Amino acid sequence: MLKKLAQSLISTAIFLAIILLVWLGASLAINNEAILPSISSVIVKAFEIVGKSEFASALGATVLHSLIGFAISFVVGFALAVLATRFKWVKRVCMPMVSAIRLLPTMAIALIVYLWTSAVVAPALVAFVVVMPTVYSQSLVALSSVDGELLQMAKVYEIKQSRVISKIYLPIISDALIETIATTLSLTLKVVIASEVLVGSGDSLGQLMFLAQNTYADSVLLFALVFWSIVIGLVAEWTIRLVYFGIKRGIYAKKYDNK
Amino acid sequence: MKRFLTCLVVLVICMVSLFSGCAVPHKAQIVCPDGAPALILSTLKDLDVSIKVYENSNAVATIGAQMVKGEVDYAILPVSNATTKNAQSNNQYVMAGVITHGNLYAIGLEDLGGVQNLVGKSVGVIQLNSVPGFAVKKMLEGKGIAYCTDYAQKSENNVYLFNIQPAQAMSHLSSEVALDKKADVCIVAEPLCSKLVSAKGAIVCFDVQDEYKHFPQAVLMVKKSVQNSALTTKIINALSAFDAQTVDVNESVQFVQSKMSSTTSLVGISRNAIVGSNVYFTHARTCKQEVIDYIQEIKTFDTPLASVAESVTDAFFME
Repeated sequence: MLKKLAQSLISTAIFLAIILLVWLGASLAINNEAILPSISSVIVKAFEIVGKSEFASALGATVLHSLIGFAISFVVGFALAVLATRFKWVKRVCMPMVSAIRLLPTMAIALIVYLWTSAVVAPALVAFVVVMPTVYSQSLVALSSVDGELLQMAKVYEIKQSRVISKIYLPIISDALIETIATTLSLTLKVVIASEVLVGSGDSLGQLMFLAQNTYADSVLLFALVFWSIVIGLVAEWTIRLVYFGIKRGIYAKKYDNK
Repeated sequence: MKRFLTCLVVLVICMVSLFSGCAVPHKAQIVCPDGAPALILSTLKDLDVSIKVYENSNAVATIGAQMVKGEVDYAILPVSNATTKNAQSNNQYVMAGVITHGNLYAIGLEDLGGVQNLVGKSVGVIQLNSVPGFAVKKMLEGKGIAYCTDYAQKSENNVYLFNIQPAQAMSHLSSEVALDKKADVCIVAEPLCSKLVSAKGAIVCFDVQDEYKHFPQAVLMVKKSVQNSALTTKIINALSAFDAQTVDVNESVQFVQSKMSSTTSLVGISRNAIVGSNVYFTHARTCKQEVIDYIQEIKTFDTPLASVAESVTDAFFME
């Protein structure tokens, strides 16, 4: 687990280094801040806007939209996957339904949903349309990987359902589940920002990006906002992985101590 | 052999020097976003200038980037963006004149009976946080009408403003939407306004320009290196000759269509739409102070994060 985590961290760092190098090369070649700002000016701007209340409230709103969207997507997606594992008919019903949701054009959904809901709910619902099918599919794969014979044995020995979940299901699906949470959380953030741009959610990171591009014509501000959205996505992803790693390590250490 | 090589080198140098000035002649390029400003372009049909109309939502950003790089000789874009992009291009351009003078209209399903009756009502505004929104807010401020952008603060004594997408104006006017999305009036721009009036049964409640002012919207920026050229004079003369009341509507629309990169069809553009777009060319000499004042006015919408426009001096304007 530690090795996998370290490998993942290293590959993320390498990817970031490549991106920064390409950016550096391109900004040196173009040499025009209004077209492609330099890394230094974006970093300076990024830290300059952190203290501004306009940025803080926009960021807070986007994080809130993302968390709402993610929570709905995860609860519904995972619950459907559990039901689909348990009941064949649910799986049969879910298959076309999830495919249909996956095929819905995100932008059209954003515009339609905006008419009926608030600027908070619209981006969250759009995130649901994009993220829920992914959560459902990945959860279904994880749940299907649990050995059927093991479950049969638990049934024969009349083991309590709570123990089946904690001792059989969780150890097998937890890795995949955490990975699903980590990746879909940052995907949610991305989708939410895109829909905020489209529906013009008054106070949000997406709307600030739109204004930076169209009203303020400020490329450095736009890049600084993109910088923060990437940082928040990465921090969220890695916090989840590291917290999970810590918990798992704690459990193993406890087991080892008991022995 | 040595002599032959020397002759060859001299010959090559001579040929290069001789033809170095024979590169493909540079054709002046004018770029413009679609919508109201593009309607004036048909006046340039007989001039030797390459015209490109950008119709996507990034049109202004694309044109701005071309200005910053100094790639185009003539660019038409909103004055607020023009000031910023010109500053970013190290002031390579000057403003030759204003092309559109505000094209915002309030539409509804029933007559409003005057702007004062907006109090206590909900108003959907296209681009609330940009130029159209600034104009509406300034109009309300000028009339002493309070406004809010948070539905929770809506009362009988103020006007609730919220952002709408142009294509959804009619949906916001219907009652089948969420309470905070239900508009009594929507502020939209021409040529969309005329389309909604003729095809969807909307009523024009008032002309924002009449209630606020005819403000400088899209402007023509000219590269300093060509500002004194004969072509620039011809372009300005041609643009000045544009008359919305007499222009051949079909020809004008077809011309714009032919200059667009996609096959988006410009259907339903009527003479009303062209007249309502307030398209007429005003030379920088006559509208300089108006532009300076307008820039100062919209700068009240600057935020601690960024500025909506760069302040301008006399150097911004073409003489």
